[in-house]
Amino acid sequence: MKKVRVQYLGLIKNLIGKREDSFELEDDASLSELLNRIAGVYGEPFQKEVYEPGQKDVKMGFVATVNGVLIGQLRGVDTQLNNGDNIILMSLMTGG
Amino acid sequence: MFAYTGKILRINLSTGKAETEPLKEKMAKQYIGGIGLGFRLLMDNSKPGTDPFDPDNPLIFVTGPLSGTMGPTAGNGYAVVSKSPATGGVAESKAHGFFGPELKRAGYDAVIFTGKAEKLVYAWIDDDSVQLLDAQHLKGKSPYETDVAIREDLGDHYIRVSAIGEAGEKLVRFASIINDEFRAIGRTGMGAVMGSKNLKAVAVRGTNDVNVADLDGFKEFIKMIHERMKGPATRKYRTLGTPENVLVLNALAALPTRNFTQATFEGAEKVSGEYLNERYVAKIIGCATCAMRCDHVAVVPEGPYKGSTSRMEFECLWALGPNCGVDRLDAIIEAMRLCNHYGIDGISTGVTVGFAMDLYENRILPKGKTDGLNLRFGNHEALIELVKKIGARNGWLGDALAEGTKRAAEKIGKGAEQYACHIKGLELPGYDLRGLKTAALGFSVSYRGACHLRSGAYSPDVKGKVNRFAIEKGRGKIVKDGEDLYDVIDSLILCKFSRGTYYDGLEDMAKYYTLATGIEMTPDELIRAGERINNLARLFNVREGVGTREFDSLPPKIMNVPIPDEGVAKGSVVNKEEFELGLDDYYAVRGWTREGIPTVEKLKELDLGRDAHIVRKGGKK
Repeated sequence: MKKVRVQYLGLIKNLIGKREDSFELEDDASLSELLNRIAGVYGEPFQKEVYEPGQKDVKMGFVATVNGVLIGQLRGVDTQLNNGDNIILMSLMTGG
Repeated sequence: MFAYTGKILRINLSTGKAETEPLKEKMAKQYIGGIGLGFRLLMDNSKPGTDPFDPDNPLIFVTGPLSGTMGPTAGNGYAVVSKSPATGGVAESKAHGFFGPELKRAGYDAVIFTGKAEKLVYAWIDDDSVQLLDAQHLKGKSPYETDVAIREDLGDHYIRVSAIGEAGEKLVRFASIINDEFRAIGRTGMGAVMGSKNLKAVAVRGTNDVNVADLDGFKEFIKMIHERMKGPATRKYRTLGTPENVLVLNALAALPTRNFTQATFEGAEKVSGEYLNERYVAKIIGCATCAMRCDHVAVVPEGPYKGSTSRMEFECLWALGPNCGVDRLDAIIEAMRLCNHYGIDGISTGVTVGFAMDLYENRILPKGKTDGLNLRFGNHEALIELVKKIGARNGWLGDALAEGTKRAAEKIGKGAEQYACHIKGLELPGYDLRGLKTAALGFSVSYRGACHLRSGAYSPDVKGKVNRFAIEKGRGKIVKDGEDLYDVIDSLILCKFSRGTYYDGLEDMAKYYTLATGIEMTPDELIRAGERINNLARLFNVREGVGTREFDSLPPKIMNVPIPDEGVAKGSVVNKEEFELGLDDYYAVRGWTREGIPTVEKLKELDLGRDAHIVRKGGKK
């Protein structure tokens, strides 16, 4: 088993009413397993807005990082997680 | 023509003469409106080498084809175009609110101000009636005070006013023009050009209809856009607003801190969008014809800045906060209120204060030149006092900084230019370009100087679509495509916050245009117009001697000082080799020479052949 830390920023934090979590995952777990777990814990609001279980990416307007690296530069939701990883789920940066 | 009024108003402030001329359909279609039409009128109505403060430098207020219609986010905008006192090149800025549609309903696609009034005046445009009225009693008043006073003087609450403050009167090079209390023509110093003409304000009342070509089709289309605006594409703007970016950029180690020294801010939580909304946002309001409602108006409830009120958004919050090391939102709100009061651009003001603090910390600014201020990073009281000094050009330092970081660095000397964070004379917005390198390329080639809104080139970086820590071949096309699209958006004057609601992109925009104007426009023609507008802006800069490769640069701190923060971005800096590669790539995809000059063939291809003499002559006469 491995343990990872998840931080939620902005809209996601407001949506689920929580700032951060830690999850224990199977040794071979990838980001998609983690996102499925989070979707299971927080249910429909999270699934409707941020991530639907089984999907290949988070929904429009959101991004995720693993240890500060955007998952688009890793293997997306197939990115393997390691013990002690820090994951951030947050809104996409947009200017104006 | 439908949607367009077909009329351009010309006001000579020296003689007081006002006359109109027609806007031809061909010009309307080729340059759309907004900044595109503004650039064409600027090019045609100015002589090379004219000083931005010379009476002959035209100041052009332009509406868009959709201004004054019920179209959401596009029905409420206007642009101001001129030659910039900050960059010496082409200048443009847009604002939404209620002024733009009023100007359109008064009957004008554009108003060209030339000359200089003998004393301070304001222009009163009441449909066909145009008068220059005495504004001596408004001298030194803020834009909003001016707005209120003019409406009272003229006895009509529904008059809309676009005005400058004390900073514009005193030619602060990043002075803004403000309408509807908080809506700013903020960037590139348009307020200073207005001040140089002794023009305090433009007041308008319009009672004409703006008719669209296909009313049923237009109504159906905007109903669809309204529905989309309730969805995810605008959610962020409707809820926490752009200040949500603070923690996002901080998490990416791309939040410039202390004048681009660090890329993360230890006080980010305290100046975040989340914190702002929980403690300070009192109401959220919207512009004319817009259901999105994004204006987060913050009020300080207690403490030394109690009662201070301002609209807050990310860029200015960042500039006056993290960039100055200030972690108190009450002080940032007060600093922003002062920017609105004096009429100065919040981005340039914050970056200029951060520059002064950096010089002080590095002992480049001698104690005798600080106007008595302790300019340590994080000193919120010094921030407030320095904003006041800049806005009123008070003291040696206030007066020097009112020139902007580029000119202030030249005045201060001792290597101060190494700390000046500007491109072409316009201060950087809140993106650490050392770790957002597509944005770095995009900012460097922007025709109005450092700007996130000329190409949106930060987008692929922050989405993780590209390696944001490198400039590679292919980034030139990303920047070009973004620029051409944003030129279309700013010529239609669509609010950029709504850009995500055009699901089919150019196809939606072309349809919107055609339904309103009755002028057939294909998506290809529209993006070609964007490319034409970008080339025209570049040509203006070439003509003025600021449009070649050497001006497409990055600040020394972005090129020489690696990000020191621990984490994923540590050590990142833009190196010369990758930057030159990026410029080559960009010029090639633009069809320009290696010096960054549009070729005659490219100009002819874009129906800009009549401007080809500029590149044949190699620029400035």
